[in-house]
Amino acid sequence: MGVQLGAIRRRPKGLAAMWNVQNVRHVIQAGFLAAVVVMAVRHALVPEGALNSPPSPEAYCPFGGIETLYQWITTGKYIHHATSSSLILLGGVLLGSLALKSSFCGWICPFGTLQEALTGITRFFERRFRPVARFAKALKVRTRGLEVVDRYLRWGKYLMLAYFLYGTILAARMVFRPYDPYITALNITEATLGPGLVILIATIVLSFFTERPWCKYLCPLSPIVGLVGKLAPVQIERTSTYCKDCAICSVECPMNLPVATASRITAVDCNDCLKCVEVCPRGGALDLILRWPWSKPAVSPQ
Amino acid sequence: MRINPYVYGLLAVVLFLGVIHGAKAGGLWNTSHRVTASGELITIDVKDVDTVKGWMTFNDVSKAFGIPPGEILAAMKLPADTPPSKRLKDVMHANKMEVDDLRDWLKKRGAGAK
Repeated sequence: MGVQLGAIRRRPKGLAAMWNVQNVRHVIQAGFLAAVVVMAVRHALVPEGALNSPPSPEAYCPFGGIETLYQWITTGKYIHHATSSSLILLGGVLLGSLALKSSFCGWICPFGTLQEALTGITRFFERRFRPVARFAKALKVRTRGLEVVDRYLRWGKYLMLAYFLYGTILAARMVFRPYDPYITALNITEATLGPGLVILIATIVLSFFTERPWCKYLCPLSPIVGLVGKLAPVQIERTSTYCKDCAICSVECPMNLPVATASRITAVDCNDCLKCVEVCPRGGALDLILRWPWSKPAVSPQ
Repeated sequence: MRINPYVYGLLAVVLFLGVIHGAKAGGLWNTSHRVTASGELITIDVKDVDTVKGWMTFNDVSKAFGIPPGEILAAMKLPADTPPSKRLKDVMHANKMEVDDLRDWLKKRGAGAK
């Protein structure tokens, strides 16, 4: 981007600053979220029955594709609540992961967007009201010891994936559906008190205090996207020669990854929001690179 | 080679929407439980209980499997005064049940095994 390697990057000002990568990402995310909300509202308002009545927004959930995949391969049929759109969306997500890592999670997923927006509310108040900032800081200090818990809790999403895939294959029905906070949110007018609503409320509350709690701990789609993304020819790489170890990349990472100490971000949890790349003050220190995953990270010039 | 983050974001959106629009253009995209991707109306196949959908009514099920609506309501422990013209999904959910419960009962009763 015309930046001298190792030099401090000049921050854009005025209108150019408004169109930074994060704002563009938020606009794209908001577009997908708005599309899903419109579909959910139309589905709730227009009575079902007519052939052309709006489809359920569930038809736009790629996890439905995972749940119906086994049934579709073995019998050619879809499990209930799944349609061909579920499988096609899953194909889109997997193709995106294969080409561009976790771009779906960071740039498209409406549920991830909702969580980010809620965290954004906290950040807004932190910046404007000193007591809120003090409270947030105190909370961070007091919960520092919970980092070990956080590390173990992250295995939850693999357990969720294994459990629900096993259950779906055995029962040939969407066993994850009653627990799915995204589907509960989309069908909020029909929601009854159950695990889905409890998880949705917990996710909303936790999102005010930590970024993307559902994605970090329980989303069963996230490991699939992350693991397939390991084959992608796109990498976030840190060049230690230009890096001055300010660690701002690690501080900004919503998934709390140790970006500042890695040479390449290979973590399944990375959602490719590119906050780390954008916030890095040194040109060439942290970049998005086109490179095969099995090739070694670039050797820093001495 | 460095990738511009803006180009990365644009590619992510183009790829995702491209798959959806490609499937639509190829006639593969279907979001409806009422019609197939080729536009055919989905009806109950008496040989396959799984073709019973939540948008169908008790009358539809009764007619297809030859079971009186009253028997279905009684078996599902639903109020006897439930109008059989109501959608399965609405009635089952209102009574904290799933349409799958009805499918299971139909299977047990031998429907779909002909």
